[in-house]
Amino acid sequence: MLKLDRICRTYRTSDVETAALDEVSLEVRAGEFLSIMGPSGCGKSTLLNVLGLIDSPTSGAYWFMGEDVARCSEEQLTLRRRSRVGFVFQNFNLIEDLDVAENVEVALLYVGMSRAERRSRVAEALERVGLMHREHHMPKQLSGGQQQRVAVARALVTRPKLLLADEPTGNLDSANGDAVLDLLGAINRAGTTIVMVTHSAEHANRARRIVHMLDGRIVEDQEIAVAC
Amino acid sequence: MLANYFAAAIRNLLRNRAYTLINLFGLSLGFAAATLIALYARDEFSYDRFVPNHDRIYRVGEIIEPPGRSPMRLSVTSTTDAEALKLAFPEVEAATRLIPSNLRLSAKQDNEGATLASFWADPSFFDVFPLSGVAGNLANALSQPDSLVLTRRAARQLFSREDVVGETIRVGPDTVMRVAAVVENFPSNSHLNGEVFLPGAASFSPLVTLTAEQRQPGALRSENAYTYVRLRAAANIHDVRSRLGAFTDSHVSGSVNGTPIAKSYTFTLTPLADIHLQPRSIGDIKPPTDVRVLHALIAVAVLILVVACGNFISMMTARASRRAVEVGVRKAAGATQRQIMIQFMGECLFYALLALLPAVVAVELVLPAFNGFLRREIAFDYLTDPRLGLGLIGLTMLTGLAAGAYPALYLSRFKPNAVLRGTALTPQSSRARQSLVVAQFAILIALLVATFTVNRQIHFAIEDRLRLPTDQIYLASEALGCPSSFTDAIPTLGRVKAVTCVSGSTLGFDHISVNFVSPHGGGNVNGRAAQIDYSFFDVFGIQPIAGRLLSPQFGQDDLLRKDPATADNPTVVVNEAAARALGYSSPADAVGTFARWQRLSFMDGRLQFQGQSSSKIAAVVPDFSIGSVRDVIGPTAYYIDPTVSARMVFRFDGGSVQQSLESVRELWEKHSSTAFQGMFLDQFVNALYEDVLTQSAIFTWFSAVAVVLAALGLLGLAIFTAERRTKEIGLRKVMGARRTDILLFLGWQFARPVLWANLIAWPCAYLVMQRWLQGFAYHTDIGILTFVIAGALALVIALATVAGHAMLVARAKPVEALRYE
Repeated sequence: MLKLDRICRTYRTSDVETAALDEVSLEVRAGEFLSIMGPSGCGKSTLLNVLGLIDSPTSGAYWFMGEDVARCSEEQLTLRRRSRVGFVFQNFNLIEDLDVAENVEVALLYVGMSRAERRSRVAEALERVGLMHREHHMPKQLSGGQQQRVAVARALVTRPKLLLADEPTGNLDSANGDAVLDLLGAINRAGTTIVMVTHSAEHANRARRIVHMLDGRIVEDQEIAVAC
Repeated sequence: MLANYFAAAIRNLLRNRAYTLINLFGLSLGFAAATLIALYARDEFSYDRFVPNHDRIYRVGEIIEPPGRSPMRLSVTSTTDAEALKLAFPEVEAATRLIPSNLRLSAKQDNEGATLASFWADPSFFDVFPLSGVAGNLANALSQPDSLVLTRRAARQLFSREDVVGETIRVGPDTVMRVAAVVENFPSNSHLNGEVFLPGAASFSPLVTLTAEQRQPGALRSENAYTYVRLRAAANIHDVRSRLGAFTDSHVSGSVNGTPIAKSYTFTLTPLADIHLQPRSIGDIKPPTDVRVLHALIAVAVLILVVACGNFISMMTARASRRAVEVGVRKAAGATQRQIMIQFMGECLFYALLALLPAVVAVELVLPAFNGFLRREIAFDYLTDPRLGLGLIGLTMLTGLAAGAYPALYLSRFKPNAVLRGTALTPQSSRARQSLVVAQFAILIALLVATFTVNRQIHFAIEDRLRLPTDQIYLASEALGCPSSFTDAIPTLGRVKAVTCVSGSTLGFDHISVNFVSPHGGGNVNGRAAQIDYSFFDVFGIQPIAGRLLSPQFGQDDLLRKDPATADNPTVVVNEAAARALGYSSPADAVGTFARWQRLSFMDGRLQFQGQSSSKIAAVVPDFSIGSVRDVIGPTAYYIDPTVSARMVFRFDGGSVQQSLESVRELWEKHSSTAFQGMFLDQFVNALYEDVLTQSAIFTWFSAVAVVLAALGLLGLAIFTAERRTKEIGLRKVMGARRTDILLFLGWQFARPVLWANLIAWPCAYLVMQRWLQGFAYHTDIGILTFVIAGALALVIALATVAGHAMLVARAKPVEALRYE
């Protein structure tokens, strides 16, 4: 589904060049649940951004669902991202001026869908994360766990093939963190490929594959046996 | 999608109430100010366009350029020109003439009546000006010598009703005329301000008497009538203009000192709608507007909108961090940069439309006072006038788009990967905001310099140049004349310092020429003849630079009093300009010399040139005029001539001006049955500079608007900066900064752009205002102090605006600041 071949991503300031990704090669198969682990600054989030088409590699090749997108313009990446990729962030990133339903609806606004269909999809997504009763609440009126569930609803409302989660439990207590991971597990079991960045080994173990990173490189790619 | 955008916009607006208010108030104020200026400019540019087929109507004017003198523009021509033009040019469909009248009109026998703006008009007046009649038949309303036409307003004033056709009116002391028609009022945006049209066909009408004089053999050409022509629909104005030179040669006869006067004459044809936009001319019915000032005002409106837009851009980008997540999420969800731009542009348009509503209300509220001040009838019928309504919407959309373009571009360029991690905001937006503040304050400082300069020039024109107690000098109406039985009795009142009788030419109300033969060769010197009596210099406080003033004890000074018909010339006093023009190296050199000159005298009821003769120059006085500082004071020759000195001027004691005037009035009423009329010199001077005073007031008001806008923008930025820098300020305090250190630190942050703004504003303002001052023959200097004061004022405004907020921030406990962060 996703294939990175010797991807580099460097950032330049006036006199310093930093390699966030250094010849990273990785293949993600459809239906996988993959965790990326590593210390702060090792390039986990950069890798996730490249996978999610919100950042472009400096060099290397990236086949996204069968198409080389490494040299695509921002506009082309946007069009490929629409309805195929969902995002969940550590700090939820809900739009504070929109209520719960409107926040979830944002993901559907750019895929050319009728208002009625959008409403039904939003209701379905909120039902799935158990927040239908909060649809008209503003983000500030929700707990952190609830906000992250809204973010998950927003990520899955387009029925994406790929869901990227960047430290989705980083700002949550353990109970809420577990609940969000349960939700992601269920989404994965329903067929959505998930790539999750996390610091927590316990949370990483929810995945079936763990990739360890250090200094912009993948240092270990570990498959986890699933108990039958 | 729109609902989602709208929800985000509205809630963002409500969440940030302080910023919203600053933004909306600023935009509203900008719209209101720009709308008022636009309405004023539209009114100025719309003069006389209400007249049907105005594009075929032209006013005939003249430019006279006597040898050695700067050209004089006249809006009046000879009474014989209308008929001559009609005969010479087949393109002229109709021609008509107007001469102002100051006769009193009374609807009842025992009524004192009123002096309304009246014109003697040819019967063809309504052929040239096809105005709408209210009652009666305009086509032949002026064909009878005893029929007149009133405007609706005049009818109301005289009869308190409008159905007055057939009613009689007493015109002057003993003539009765019949109202033949009532015509619609002239709007305020017409150069014609007539309320009454008297029959030019009446035997005592100046149109008849002056035409008869002009037709006498050898009569000197004089300009007394406004002449208008209406061209045929197919006429080509360029053809007509190209043949005016030949017309002048054949029609303008006579010569001065052997030179045909036709050589000095150029006829002009000014389209009716352009009359108000022409440079000033001698005899203008209404002072025209200065197109450069109109352009300057439009520029001020644009600058005000730029300042308002600057605030908007500044606020929107300052608050961008609050919208960054939204942009990131929308982009991550698949929104393109174009879609985000459209969203934010739409939001800015929404803001602009929201700001339009209070602006419209403000204009509605202010317009009556604005009209009262300008004495206009500017309407704000945006609902019934589609062009105005669309103009308002267009202006709003344009401003919304102009103000929204940068914030929309700025916000839409956020990279989702960066903003969603909270690292998107670059110092670029901060630099842009700083640049905006610099630009806004540069505009403000330039407007302050302009306002100060306009006011300095007014002060110079009214006070510095005349150096006279203008509120103690009274100019009596010419209609009163100057009866010696009355002026001789004035000293008995004991309240009048001096009274003098002078001609209109002396005061600059009209122009009587005098031609000197230069004693040093180099051709003739044409100048102004100032006919005075002995107390003139006393009344106006004029002292000779060299020589002696005129006195009855010198026989040659008194020549014309003894023998008005003499061909000899009396002794003259000349001004410095005349002494220079005559080639004397100093005033003292001129004194005692003899000069040959040709004098106009009033003989047999008309003005005529006498032959050349010599007379002595008794003194040289400083250049003096109560006229406008726009006009150069030309060579002037003062001499005693009671035949044309028919205007009384009084100088009162400072302490009891009103009582003195009353006693003069009472004395007059014992001498005459006519009412005592006139005006103080300060009223005359104020009327002279009415346009500049209006401009000054408009500049002052709109500069005040710019001050408020710039201050608002700075206030918004101060709130934002304080918010953003809470942690930094807290840390500085932890490190030992005192309250004053913080205040100085914040003060410097805001003072710096204002100081930079001076660098841009000063040269721009200097160039523009220097050009403006060049429009006056006599003007003040701008002076470095004007710039320093403007810059300092802008700095004070800036610091006063941010002081309150800076104080709050500086007083906060550091621990609170750090905890807040």
